[in-house]
Amino acid sequence: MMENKEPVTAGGDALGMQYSEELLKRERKANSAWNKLRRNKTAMVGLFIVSLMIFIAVFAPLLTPFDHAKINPAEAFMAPGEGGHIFGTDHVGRDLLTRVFYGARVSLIVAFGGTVVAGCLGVILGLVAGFFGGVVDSVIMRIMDGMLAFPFILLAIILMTVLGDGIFNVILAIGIGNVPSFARVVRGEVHIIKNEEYCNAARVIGVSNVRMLFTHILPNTISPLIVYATLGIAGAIISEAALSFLGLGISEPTASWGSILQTGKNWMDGSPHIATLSGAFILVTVLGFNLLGDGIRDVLDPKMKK
Amino acid sequence: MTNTDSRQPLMRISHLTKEFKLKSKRFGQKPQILHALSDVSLDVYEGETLGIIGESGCGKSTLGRTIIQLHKATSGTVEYQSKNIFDLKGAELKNIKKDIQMVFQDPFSSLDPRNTCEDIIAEPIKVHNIISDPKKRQERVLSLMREVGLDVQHMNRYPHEFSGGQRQRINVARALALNPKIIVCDEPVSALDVSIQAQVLNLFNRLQKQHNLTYIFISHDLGVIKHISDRIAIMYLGRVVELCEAGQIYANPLHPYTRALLSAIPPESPFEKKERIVLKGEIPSPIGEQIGCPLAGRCPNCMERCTREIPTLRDVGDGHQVACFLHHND
Repeated sequence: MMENKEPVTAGGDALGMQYSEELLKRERKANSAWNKLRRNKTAMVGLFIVSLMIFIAVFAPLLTPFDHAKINPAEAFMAPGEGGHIFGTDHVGRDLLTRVFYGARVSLIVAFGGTVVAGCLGVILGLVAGFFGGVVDSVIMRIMDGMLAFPFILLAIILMTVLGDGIFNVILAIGIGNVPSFARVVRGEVHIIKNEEYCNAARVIGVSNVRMLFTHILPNTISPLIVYATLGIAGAIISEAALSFLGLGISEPTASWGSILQTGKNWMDGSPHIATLSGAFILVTVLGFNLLGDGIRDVLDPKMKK
Repeated sequence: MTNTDSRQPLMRISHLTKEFKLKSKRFGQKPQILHALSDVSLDVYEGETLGIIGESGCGKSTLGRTIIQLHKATSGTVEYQSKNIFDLKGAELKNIKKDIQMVFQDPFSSLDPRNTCEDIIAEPIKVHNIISDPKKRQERVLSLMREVGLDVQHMNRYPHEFSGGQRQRINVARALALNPKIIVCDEPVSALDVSIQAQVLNLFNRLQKQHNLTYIFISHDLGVIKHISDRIAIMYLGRVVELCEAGQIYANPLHPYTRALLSAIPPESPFEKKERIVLKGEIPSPIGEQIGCPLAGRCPNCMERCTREIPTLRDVGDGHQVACFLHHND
């Protein structure tokens, strides 16, 4: 063994350097975000569910032979499997599978868009409030508290009335309605992190405030943020349903999971499949986003290195 | 290094005072003032290690943090290159920050847990835009890491994967990245095991020789300070009470507090008889108005004058400065 070892160390710096480059590359590759995510089984399940839902939404017209808006009273309230309708039909005879597939489009866009809008605005406000403190903090957070004082649905109704109908306005309304809670989560974290010693170390080096916010503070708030955002997606799907139900969101005949669920609940005793099937899609999608979100959080945490 | 007076100081700390306002508990009450640093004046010479020692809460760390501008000084100046660094702004301040760096006490919290070792050491180089080519920057980081005893395989690791000693080495490498003149070391070894302490202290010594660094070395450990310092300042309750050559302070301590402090070092041989000077009572509160010598209540040599006046730091020959009326000849 000793004899084998000798030439390697005596081989000079060239060999050592090559070896270390190799080592570095391997380590970097093993720790790249994608590879870490791939090793996380539950995250992969989540990713699969989310991808499947996106696939359904994108290719909805190609997946079913029926028209999602065509009313056919003769075929109303058909049970799943009856007359070629795999999921059955709804109260006016539209194919439920088609409506659920088309509904994925609205629901996913609204849920994702709403959360992104809320997240972006909330994170920026929270960072600024938490980092600068003092008057800035008080002003921003009192406005956020004021918004929180309104019940979410009332706030969304006000916004929808001002903005008018349409999918982008639904996204905006849901987004703005969720800003205060994001801002609070981020602000609380920033308050703790900005006084950590590593932020002092950065100050000693001469790091600017902007760089500090985006390279040291924001990355360290990411864990609670992702958890909150994945929960927010579920909330946004339901909120869209509530708005649609009140006639302020997406109007008929455009389908969304929420609106199918809302109308379906009126016929729970006769035809329970309408509400349950659309509800199941919401459930699975939310589950998918939660699993994926947990996975992403783990991947971004350097302490999880399995 | 006996002729310290003739040399030009690299950094001149004069009358540095830091007061913290304590919020009053009752509404409308006047806020109380905590005197963390009172009228601290020190000269720091190029290439030396100025040891600062004192018990917990005496303002050692506050002094370090005020010099480095993590705390805003209440009054006083810190002159560097004949400019008061507290007056500087913008680009000039950024330039000065390059020359004065810090090694923190806690190796566990002073590194961003989400940055790799390479990111951490490269950050000062990026911020000051010293090397813009990523390849060359990486080489510089690697050479810095080698200098403090780390190697290539550590580059992509995160702080939690290192031991305390290694993290402190990363801290040192980060401070070195800007080629500083002065490094403020705020108890850099007190969080480490004794065996690791020795390694890190030797690293500090080696780097000082190689880069002609000046250290302001804060510690509460008498052994550590003795090992590393050229000159030693003894602090008590936010004031420097004695300042002199390292050898002098152990051979000829003048201030009663220094004598008591040094008598606390255990004798080297069990047969050696050592007189232990015990200061009675507790360290007085730094909150509120400060009257008289801070040691007056505990001092075995306390005179009537000590309770009225605050003694200033005065030279008693050979650069040996002491703040005690026993040694003032007036």
